[in-house]
Amino acid sequence: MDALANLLFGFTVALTPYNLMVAATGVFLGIIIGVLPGLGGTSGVAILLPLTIVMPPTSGIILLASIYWGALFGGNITSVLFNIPGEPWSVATCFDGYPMAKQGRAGEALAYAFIPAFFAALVGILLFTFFAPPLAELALRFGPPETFAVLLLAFSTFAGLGGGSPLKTLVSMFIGFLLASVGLDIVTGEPRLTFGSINLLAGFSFVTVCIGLFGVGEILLSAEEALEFRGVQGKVRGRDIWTVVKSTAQHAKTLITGTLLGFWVGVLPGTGATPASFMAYGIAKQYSRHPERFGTGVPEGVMAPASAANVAGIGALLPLVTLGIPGSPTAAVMLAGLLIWGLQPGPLLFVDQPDFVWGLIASMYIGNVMGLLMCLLLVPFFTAILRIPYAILGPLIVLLSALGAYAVKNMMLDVWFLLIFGVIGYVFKKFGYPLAPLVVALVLGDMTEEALRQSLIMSDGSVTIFFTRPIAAFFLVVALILFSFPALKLMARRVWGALQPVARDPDRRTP
Amino acid sequence: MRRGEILCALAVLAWAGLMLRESVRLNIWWGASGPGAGFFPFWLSVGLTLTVAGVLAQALGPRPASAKKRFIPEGALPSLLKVVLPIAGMILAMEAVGYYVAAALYLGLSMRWIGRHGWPMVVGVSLLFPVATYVVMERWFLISLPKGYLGGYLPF
Repeated sequence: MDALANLLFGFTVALTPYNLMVAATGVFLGIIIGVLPGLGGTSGVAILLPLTIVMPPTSGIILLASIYWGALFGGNITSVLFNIPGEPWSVATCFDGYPMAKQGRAGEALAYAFIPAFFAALVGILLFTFFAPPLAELALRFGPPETFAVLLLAFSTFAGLGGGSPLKTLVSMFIGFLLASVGLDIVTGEPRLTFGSINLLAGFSFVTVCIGLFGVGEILLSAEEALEFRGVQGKVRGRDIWTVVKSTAQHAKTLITGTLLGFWVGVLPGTGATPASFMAYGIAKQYSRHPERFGTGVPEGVMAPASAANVAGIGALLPLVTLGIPGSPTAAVMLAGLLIWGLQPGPLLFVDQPDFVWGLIASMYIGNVMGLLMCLLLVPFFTAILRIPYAILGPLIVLLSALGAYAVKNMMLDVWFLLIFGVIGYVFKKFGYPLAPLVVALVLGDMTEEALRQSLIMSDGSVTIFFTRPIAAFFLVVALILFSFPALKLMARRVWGALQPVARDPDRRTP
Repeated sequence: MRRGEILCALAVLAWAGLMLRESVRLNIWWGASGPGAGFFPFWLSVGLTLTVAGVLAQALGPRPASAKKRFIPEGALPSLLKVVLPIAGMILAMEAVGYYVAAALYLGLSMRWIGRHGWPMVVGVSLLFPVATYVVMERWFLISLPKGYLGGYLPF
């Protein structure tokens, strides 16, 4: 097996003392980020991204990925013990985790989150190891039209599957693309949309926008509500682990559906761990023999969202390394990292940078083992972090954000942009404009424009090129269907409503 | 909330118009090397204008139930300002006296004014953080942070 040999090579990269230390640091910081409610995984990765400038790219990606794994695990701790989600993707873990913890089964609830999440992640990494190389090989044959069609497909998943207002999703996406096109034109080198400013020639720094929207925006949002941590004390005992392991066979169905669903949702570019966790919870409830007991502390209600979220994080990196398209907002930040380290994201990584790709894959195994062990052993330590008062924690996060924003390009203007985008993030969140499409469009903007313009040059300006090449045509048609999905849904509902007058009864309308 | 929603959409619309004006100053059709520099931004601004106009139309339409909710919850404005103003002040200070001094001032003020912590704690944390950052950034990672007008006078 080729993949196995490559994986072994990857382990020789990931198991060097320096990279092991980097992974452990990343997982540890990630769990802290995960535990803190005011700091999300996406902004956490973005804030720490500038630190990787001084590292070799392989260590850099291992650090960022390990932070992601840590944050995926860590969010559950706050959810289960305090009923406050530490991360958006652990909201669904609150539903059954906290009731269980309140019944005095806190350790068990935590074990039900960590252990299934670990096994789901493991299955996800195995799928990753064997799916990534053939996918990358396929993608290597892509020309500009195929690349553009795949990118369009990525963006159509936001509009079609993102939930929320489809119009606002599109507004967010267009803003992201427009911000990406500020600066020197990639083909002709003309300055554009810069209003004559020299500082804007380099364009908007993705990291600054991301830290601003997610990091500072979240701080403003949490300033409104005085968070109080009154929770349950708990730590995982050996007995709890045994209870969970013993019940695996009983919950096999929930575990398998959660894992496969989570992986698939993670791979889809428009979505990430957050929708995966909600969908897995919903499905576990729907197909349960006792759906009415969900919300009172059933094990399935904890393991389904926790396992789906963790495996979605793994899945999100699959399109990142094979196609150069991030599968989640956090993966989008890592893509920005690749660009900063001077790597060309996409299938060529497998050819040009095998140590980078296989080192990353091997570090996934290592990082998740570390995450599980740290979580099982150190819960009391991580909950102690929540006792740091907000008046210290908030300013510390702001200072680290300012540091990160400045260090990317050594420009003070970026620090101001940080505040501006923080306010924009706050306002957009309040009015229900999704932020993920903006961020992904910003980071993929140049690539999308380049692919579109090169395709048009190939065809002398005719758009038929996208329909005469079979792979491009297939992706494009799927993308167009997904883009029109919200409109189709609306139409279907109208037709359905006209056919069935009873369904108009307001009491029967489902939200 | 409804008024805020309309204002927000109008602001985005205005920005879209600005981008539209800037992009038509470039070549939005075919140039010497394929599509011109303005081609992509032009169609993006058109798309943004159309979609945000749709959002605006929706906001002006029948009132949804959520319209009564206030944009900033009652009584939350002071605590919001207590967070935003110090951040703006910190960035201003960063321009003038550099990152380390600004960080110490910002941490100290927030802890004393908002957190009401005791002086030993305030002084301890607001000195420890800049020192730790200095060691990590300038010594370890060799990344120089802004020093403002103090540039030549600082001992480090």
